[in-house]
Amino acid sequence: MSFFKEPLVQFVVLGLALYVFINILAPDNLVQNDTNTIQVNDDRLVEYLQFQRKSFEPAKALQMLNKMPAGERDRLIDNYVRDEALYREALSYGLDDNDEIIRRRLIQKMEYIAQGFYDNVPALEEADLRAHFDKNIDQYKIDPSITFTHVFFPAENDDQQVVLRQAEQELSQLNRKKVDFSEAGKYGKRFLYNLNYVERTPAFVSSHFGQAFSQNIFTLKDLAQWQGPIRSEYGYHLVNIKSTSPARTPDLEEVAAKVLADTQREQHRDLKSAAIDKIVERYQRVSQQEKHISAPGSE
Amino acid sequence: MKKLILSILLISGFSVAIAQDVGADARSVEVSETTEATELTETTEPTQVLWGDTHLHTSYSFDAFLNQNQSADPDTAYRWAKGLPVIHPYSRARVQIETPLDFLVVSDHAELMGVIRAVANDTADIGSLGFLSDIKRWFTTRAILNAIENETGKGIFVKILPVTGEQPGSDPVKDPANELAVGAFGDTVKTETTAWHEIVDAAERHNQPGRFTSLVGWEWSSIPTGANLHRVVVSPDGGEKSKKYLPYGSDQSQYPEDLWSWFEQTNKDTGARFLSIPHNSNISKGYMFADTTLKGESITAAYAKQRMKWEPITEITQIKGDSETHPSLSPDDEFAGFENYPFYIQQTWEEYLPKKGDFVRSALRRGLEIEQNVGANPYKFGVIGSTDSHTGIASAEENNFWGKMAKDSTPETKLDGLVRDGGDSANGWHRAAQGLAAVWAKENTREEIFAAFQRKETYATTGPRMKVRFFAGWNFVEEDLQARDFVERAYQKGVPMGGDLIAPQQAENGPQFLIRVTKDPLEANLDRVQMIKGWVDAAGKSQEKIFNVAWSGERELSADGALPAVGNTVDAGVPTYNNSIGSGELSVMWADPEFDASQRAFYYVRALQIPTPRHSLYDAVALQQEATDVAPAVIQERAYTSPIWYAPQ
Repeated sequence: MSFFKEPLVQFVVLGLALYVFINILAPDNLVQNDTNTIQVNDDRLVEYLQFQRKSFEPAKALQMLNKMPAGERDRLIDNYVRDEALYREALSYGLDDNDEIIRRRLIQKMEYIAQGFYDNVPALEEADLRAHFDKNIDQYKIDPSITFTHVFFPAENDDQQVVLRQAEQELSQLNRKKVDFSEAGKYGKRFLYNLNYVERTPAFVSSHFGQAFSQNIFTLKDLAQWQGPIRSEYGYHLVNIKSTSPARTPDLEEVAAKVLADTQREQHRDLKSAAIDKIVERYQRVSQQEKHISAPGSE
Repeated sequence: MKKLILSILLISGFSVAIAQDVGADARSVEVSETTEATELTETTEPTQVLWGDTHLHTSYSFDAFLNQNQSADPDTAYRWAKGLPVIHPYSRARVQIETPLDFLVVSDHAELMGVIRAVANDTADIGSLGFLSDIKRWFTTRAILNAIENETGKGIFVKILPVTGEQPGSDPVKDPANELAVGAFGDTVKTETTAWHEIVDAAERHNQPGRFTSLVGWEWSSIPTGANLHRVVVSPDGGEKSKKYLPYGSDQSQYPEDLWSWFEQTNKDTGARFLSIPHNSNISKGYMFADTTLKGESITAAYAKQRMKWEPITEITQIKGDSETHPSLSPDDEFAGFENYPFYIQQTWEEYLPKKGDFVRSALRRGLEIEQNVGANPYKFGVIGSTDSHTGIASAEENNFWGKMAKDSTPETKLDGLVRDGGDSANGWHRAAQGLAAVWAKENTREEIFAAFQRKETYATTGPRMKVRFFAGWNFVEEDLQARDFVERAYQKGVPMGGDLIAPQQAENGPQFLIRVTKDPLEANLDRVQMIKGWVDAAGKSQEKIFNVAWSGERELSADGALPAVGNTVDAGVPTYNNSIGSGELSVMWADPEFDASQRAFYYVRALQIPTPRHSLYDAVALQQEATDVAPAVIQERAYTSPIWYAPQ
């Protein structure tokens, strides 16, 4: 029968058979496409309700849903169904195709997933921290600093020489009586800024006393006794130094917390870009330009 | 031992990111002596001054992003505040604060929080609006992206601003011209939630109790018909509580009463605590501190109490001008014409009309009058200053000022104003390089700073960090002022700024006020200290008077209490100034010669620096131009304290 050997006839018959099968014989669930059913249940409503309320506590939202008067619940369902229907309709129109925002969103989701790759990051060893610390040593340098107290003799309005002599006399008294650091506040006059200075840098000291004073005090060595008088912009000062610390590079242990945070940040960045590189590597890159260049050569 | 600490850090470090950057000013250190460890502190005073900015926007604010801040996020903001160099979002220059801050509130607009940023970066998670609206949104998005690309974002920003009301003086929310400009983006809740969580996480990362404090916050940006009713909301609570809610925006309600009710409810639901700080009352068209509620109802004791429960402090000075007072309201105040900013935030030009409801001093006076009538004062607030910078960079220094919007940060772009029909528009030279919030706190923590806000033990400066102590009491003696333990004595025998002076059973004399102002060690000397008094007279009307109480040099008060000017050392050609005039410290014990025990009153301190160059003068020199009429070449920076109130028995 050559008639049935005609491809066109075969095509028509098969099409007819398929039509009969789908429309007359097939079970409902094949015909009633899933995209036309909107499931409404507590799980979905709880999620929807949380976004509506701008509050993200599932337990509370469920409680609220259960207590909701029937009318209000119906409105919530209506809104949910409306949103879902519009969303699916948009998908069926293909509105998601070629949409830059959706494309970006998907890229962003992949980036999040790539970020997930470092949920099980290899634990950092002390050696990793040390390597990072050594490589970025400049970031961790510490300024010189000083901790001291002072006894103040104002000399803005009085005779400089008289005040200087007073200060010198007081100096020998303080040392003879072995006046302690913590007792400084009982001597001299009140200074307009601080009584004590704790681990302060030259820049800070010079903002309170003037540059000359700052240069002076950072050269003093003897920590055991009262020294001075040192001239500031405001008068004379007898100083008692508790400690000084030169400009230095700290030990790793001292700045471990910061180094750890920095190393982790770097590690995460590296892992993420490695994960993305891995994905990109699976694709072959074909450049328009290369085609043009290679085309003449192959002829 | 050190090894052990390191390994603990390695184990515990993974769950929390440890941000340990440069420490801030408040410090103490363990000094171990041979046997015992003692705490060594720089001051033995019961409170220390902490410096901060409660009002800073980042790229998460829609207007910041549209005005060329696309990169300075909350992390940038905290790094700048802590003293680290950061990249400026417009010029891409490396910038750094001169002296770090002690605390910071990142307060992005609640409305469209993070949305423009997400739309421009294509990371927005926004629901569908229906076919036509989606198309509209698509065009809006394109327009925004184009505008950002071409640096014309300001144009779009202006289009979403309000327009002049049709019924001035009545409830602006109900005005037919009042229209909310958000909504083009549809359901932005997911995007806003992501943004809020990122903002909260940044705050959590940077909070270092004792060294640097971050407080979470946002701005509720109600501006019906151009009447600025903006408030910054601040919470002392951490990430867990803060993530249980989303910031309440003016898209939910433009009435402050609704914001306060939301505080009440959210506090019940989540335990989170709040306060709101009104700002830019100067451009509120008389509504911020009006003699009625916003709805036009008369102010009751209940309203006054509710308002004061949530709004203990107000922002008196910032980049968009100073809100202390205006020359038309305080004609006898020679320093009133300071950084006035006569520009409403709206599309259409409207003549600026200063009103009593616009300024702090007139509000404090009005508060006394209302209290006289209804028994409670709705305007019994303290003050702070802040920047309201939208660059992520809290800069208030004249010679290191980085703009209100990212784009107005360079001498040339600062001069690009908005072009509007009908009148002048504001540009970067109209704006002021100010201010800062000063807080007297027991320690640098969220709890202590929030507590100081609530008891109003705060003051404002226009940028310099002068230290201002201000106490009132009935038993002070001259010796207290000079005593080494001045501060301890003052707390013991009196009340600090923000407090209430309660009349003793038998007050033979009036109260005394102890004031001590110390200059910023890195800044200009002080010119004078003034006491500003407001009171209600026998007729129930409020009055004000300014007393010069301490000043530098050998100047003499005239018969009417006026003090000659301090002089001016500014060399406008360089520009520079020197400290050959003025004082490093001014202090005084003062008694009110006109004290009347039967009159309700408030007293606050204003301290002025000697004249120094304004930020616009630095620009003019850089541009090799004359300083124009737009902005004075020289200003006198100042501090304002929270008042101390007196009420008769």
